[in-house]
Amino acid sequence: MGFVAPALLLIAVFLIFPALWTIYIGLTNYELTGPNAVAPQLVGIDNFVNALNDALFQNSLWLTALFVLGSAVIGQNILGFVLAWTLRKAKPGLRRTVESLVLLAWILPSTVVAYLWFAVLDRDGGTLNSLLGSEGTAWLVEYPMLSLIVFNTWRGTAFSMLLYSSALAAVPPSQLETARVVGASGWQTVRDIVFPHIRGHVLTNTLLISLWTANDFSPFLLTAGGPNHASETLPVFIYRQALEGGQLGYASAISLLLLLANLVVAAVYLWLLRRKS
Amino acid sequence: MKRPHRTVAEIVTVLIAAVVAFPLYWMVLTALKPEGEVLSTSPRPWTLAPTLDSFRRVLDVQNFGRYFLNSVVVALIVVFFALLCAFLAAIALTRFRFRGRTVLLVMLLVAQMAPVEALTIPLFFVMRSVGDVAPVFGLNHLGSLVLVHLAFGLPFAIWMLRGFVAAVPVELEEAATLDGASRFRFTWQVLFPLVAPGLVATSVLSFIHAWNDFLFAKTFIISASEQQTLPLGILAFFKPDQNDWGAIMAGSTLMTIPVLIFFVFVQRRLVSGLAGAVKG
Repeated sequence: MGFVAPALLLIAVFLIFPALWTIYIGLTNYELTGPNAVAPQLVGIDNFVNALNDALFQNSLWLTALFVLGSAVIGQNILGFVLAWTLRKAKPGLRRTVESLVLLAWILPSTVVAYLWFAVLDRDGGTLNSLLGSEGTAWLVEYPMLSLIVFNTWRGTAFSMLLYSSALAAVPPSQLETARVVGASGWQTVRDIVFPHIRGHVLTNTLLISLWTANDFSPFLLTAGGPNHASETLPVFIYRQALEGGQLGYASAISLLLLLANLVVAAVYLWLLRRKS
Repeated sequence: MKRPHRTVAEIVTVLIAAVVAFPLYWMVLTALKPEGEVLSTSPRPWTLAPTLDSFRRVLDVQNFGRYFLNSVVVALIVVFFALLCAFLAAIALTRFRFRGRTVLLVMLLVAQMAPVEALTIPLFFVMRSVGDVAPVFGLNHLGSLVLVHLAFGLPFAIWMLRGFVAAVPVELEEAATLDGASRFRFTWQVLFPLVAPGLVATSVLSFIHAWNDFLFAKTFIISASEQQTLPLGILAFFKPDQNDWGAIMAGSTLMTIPVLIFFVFVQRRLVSGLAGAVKG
């Protein structure tokens, strides 16, 4: 097919091929330096077995789950919905302003955003400390995961907000009107009338933001995984194992595990999506 | 008649917006503050003596303009080719039936789940080999960044555009064919304008992707500092003893401006575009 060829060629050479290579490296004891860098040997599934027994890996896996659950499934999802729900009836001017601001947080360069939060959360002279009067609180050190979750919620809510805005626009107004007439509360309306209509959107949205969050590298820019691995999500763990520890084989094996975890999550969502629609 | 809880909802929304906007405000504010105020341990949320000193420090640094230009060049080339390749691929995947189509679609979805950090190592070697054949696309050249950004951006771009192309009725194509329009003519004169909102949304995402990148630039551009891009340029102001926050924020503000221009330019279409993509 001539039409797909350019895209396929690029994806094949610079994405699929390196991905397959990564799987191969994951089966070897390849290292960045030393004898194993010159002549890496096949070690089979050793790396995978080691990973599953590695306390640091388990720690990363747990932190990644926490990060995804806290900032994507709960944070971005709920905040995004609340914004879409309240903005729906807001004045056009207000609506546009809020939408723009939330979108800005999403589209700004992640390095810029990381520097910004660094300044806001800094121990000495950080903005948050000055505002709260909590001088000397090193947020990124004392509450690293909480900081990351708040950060990622702040950063990524735009996508959910946009998606839910368009989903809500498709809910028949007559049904909302009926709910209002019979005196249903806001929560009842959402649960019984709105949710059944947007169920598919909720699942699609949750799937996408979960995957993006699981692979997100920006925690590295904020905490670099520290202190003492307390915020080392899997992408950060992989990066540190590979480039700081030089354990290329091990890091590649873990990448494959992360990919598999993503696939499992995706499969569960797709199953939920199919089940009743 | 206006009901009270609607006003409450609006106030809450405004509060959320204020919280979201605050770090952005802080960035511009810090960039404009004189050096003494930036270093103060109790920074005030305003400044009475705005100055462009921090911007001057940033622009005086060797090569900052060059970094800026490099970032712009990479991002624009990526956007152009991403749109072209993704548009054609989306047409093929929605309009033509061919063997392996479903496999391709699933592959595009799985490709988005690959952790980027893991692929940098094999990619490093790939780029080194590419450089032996075509130096412009090898290590230490901007071409290498263009290639990887394209490869990593395309799966999502194709996935997104697919919905837009599918939304254009097939009858339209049949009508065009009956009127004697060639496939080429139909594609560019009928289909292309109809999927414009999708193209806009896709271009924004590709642009931001390329513009933001830190990891690839750090991995591929090792020894050619004149080929460096902006995110790494700003790193120069992080110093072991005292970070130059004024300059960091001024640099960040400058780095934000192109994104902002791009964004203001296409905002309305971006919203409808993203909405349409997810429905599709």
